[in-house]
Amino acid sequence: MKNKRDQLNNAFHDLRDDTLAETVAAMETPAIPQVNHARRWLTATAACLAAALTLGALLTLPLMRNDGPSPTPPPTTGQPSSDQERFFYDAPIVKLISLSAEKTVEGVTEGESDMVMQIDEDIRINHQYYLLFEALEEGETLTLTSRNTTLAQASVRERPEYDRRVHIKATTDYLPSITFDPTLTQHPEPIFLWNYLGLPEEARTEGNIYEDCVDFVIRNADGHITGAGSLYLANKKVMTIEENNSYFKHMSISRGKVLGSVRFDNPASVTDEQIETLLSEMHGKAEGLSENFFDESTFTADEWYIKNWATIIETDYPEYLPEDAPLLILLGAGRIMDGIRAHLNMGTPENYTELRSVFFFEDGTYAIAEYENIKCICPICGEIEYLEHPFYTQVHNVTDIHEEYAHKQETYWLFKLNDGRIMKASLIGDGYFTFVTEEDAAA
Amino acid sequence: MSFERCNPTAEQELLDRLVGRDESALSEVSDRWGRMLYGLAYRITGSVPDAEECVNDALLDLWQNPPAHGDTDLSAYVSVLVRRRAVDRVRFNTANRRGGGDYTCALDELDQCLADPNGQADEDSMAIRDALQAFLDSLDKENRVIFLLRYYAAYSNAEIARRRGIGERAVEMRLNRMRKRLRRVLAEHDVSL
Repeated sequence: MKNKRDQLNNAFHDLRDDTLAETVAAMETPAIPQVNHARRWLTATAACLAAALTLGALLTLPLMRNDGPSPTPPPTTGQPSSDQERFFYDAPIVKLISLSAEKTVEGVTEGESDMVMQIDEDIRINHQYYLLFEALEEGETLTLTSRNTTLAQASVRERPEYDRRVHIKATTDYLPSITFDPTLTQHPEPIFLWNYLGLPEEARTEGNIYEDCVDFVIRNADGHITGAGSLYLANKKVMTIEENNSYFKHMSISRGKVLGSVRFDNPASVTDEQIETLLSEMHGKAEGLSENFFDESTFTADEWYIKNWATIIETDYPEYLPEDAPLLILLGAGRIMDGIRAHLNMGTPENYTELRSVFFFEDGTYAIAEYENIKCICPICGEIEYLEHPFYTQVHNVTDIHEEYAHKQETYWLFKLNDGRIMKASLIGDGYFTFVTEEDAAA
Repeated sequence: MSFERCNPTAEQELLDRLVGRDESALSEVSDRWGRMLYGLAYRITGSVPDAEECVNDALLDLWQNPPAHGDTDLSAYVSVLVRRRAVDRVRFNTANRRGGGDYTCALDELDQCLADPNGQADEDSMAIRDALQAFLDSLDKENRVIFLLRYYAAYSNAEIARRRGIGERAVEMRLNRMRKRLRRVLAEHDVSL
């Protein structure tokens, strides 16, 4: 043994058996079957970013490196999991993260009916569903449907300048989207728009649970269905708005579960009947789920359940923030717009809701940002403005801003994370995020 | 060949048969884990004939010096035998400018954990072993598996991503953070870097 490098390498040979055993077991476990063509893995998230519960998706498309040809077929420990009778195989395509949050606004009384209505309109139940589309191939399109209504579509798009991130918006009218499809914004039954006003009456009753299944179908460029799956989403209203009080507070809990996710061996031969049967079988798994679905003791480590922001900060704050981890989704940025709308419509309540965002990174960690000195460049006049900037309040209204966003004007926000880092987030177009110095932020 | 995890009882029985000089036990080891062992050797050496030779030599080692009874995990034990052989082969080949495969890429990454990878080895090799073990013990299972798949078994990031059902970028970021953490742990254990 000549050098430290060799010494460290050899140290692996003296590890405890149990340490190695779990890895050896992983080596023995069959890998997920590969398709017969080059695959590009796509990660996308659907972000609910306004006060309304909306669904968008952020797609990340890291190229899968070509490991090079093998001189002979490299040995694998796996065998294809599909068999002659099954026409599909289990394949992870989505990962579901559901969150809920609490918002409190004070300072408005019942007598000010117009303002009450505005508050109701502004205060959205902060249900935020994030779908991480972990495996979409180039040319594929994913369609989300619920009760025969198309909720959203997501597709791969090359965005090399932003590390192949594609921002897909499904329902929000606050954020722009590259693949914005106006026809998808009119949702007769806003399953993901689970705001207080949008939910059916039974869901708005305290203690009631509102549940639904959302299906996704993946088609390739030829129109063949290459994958499908279903998600179970449920919402439980925990507290009602106290309309007779100047103190408005409401909270609900949302949670989701992937019922099934498959890829098909031969997409060209898959029939609609087979898809329907498959999805029905997946829906069957949702029966009885709601009984314990909101029992926190049943939550898994992979599920982030956030009852309110204070809980996050007090108990769930991670020990460290990921270094240079690519940002996956931004939760709660729409609350800036929410705040702006509130300011524009109502002035500034004394105890206005604190504005926070939670950033989820690809590796599953998350960071919480508390807004400080929020500033943005007005897409109309180009001036840098702060939240309470009188010019912003006096001259522009929300509608104008939304229209400008739809045309993808340059706008960014600066967030200060709990670790002191300044994150510059552009919610126009790709929704890219970078870290900047305080000097840059002040510029 | 069975791809199911051999249960502890069956492994112990296999081990007993090896100690009892039952040649069929060796065949069974080869049947059970041969492909996994070959894959391990191949990823490290990058060479089919080298990999075959490493596995065969390791099985011979196993036959000639079976592990003691007790809590030995046979599959892990055999994998170490194969890895040792494969690492030695790579060193030999490197000295003679041959091969290396993905394994050398993984080693290059691990160099980040050492201030002076080419510095002379410490006399106390156990300190590094203890530090490495402590580091791995501090990880959750998933991260530990990812780390060892990369640096013990020389899997590529893409292969790890496929096996664990996560994105390749996520694998890269996790490994990057874990290497930084390992560096800190090595320092905490006063391992001369």
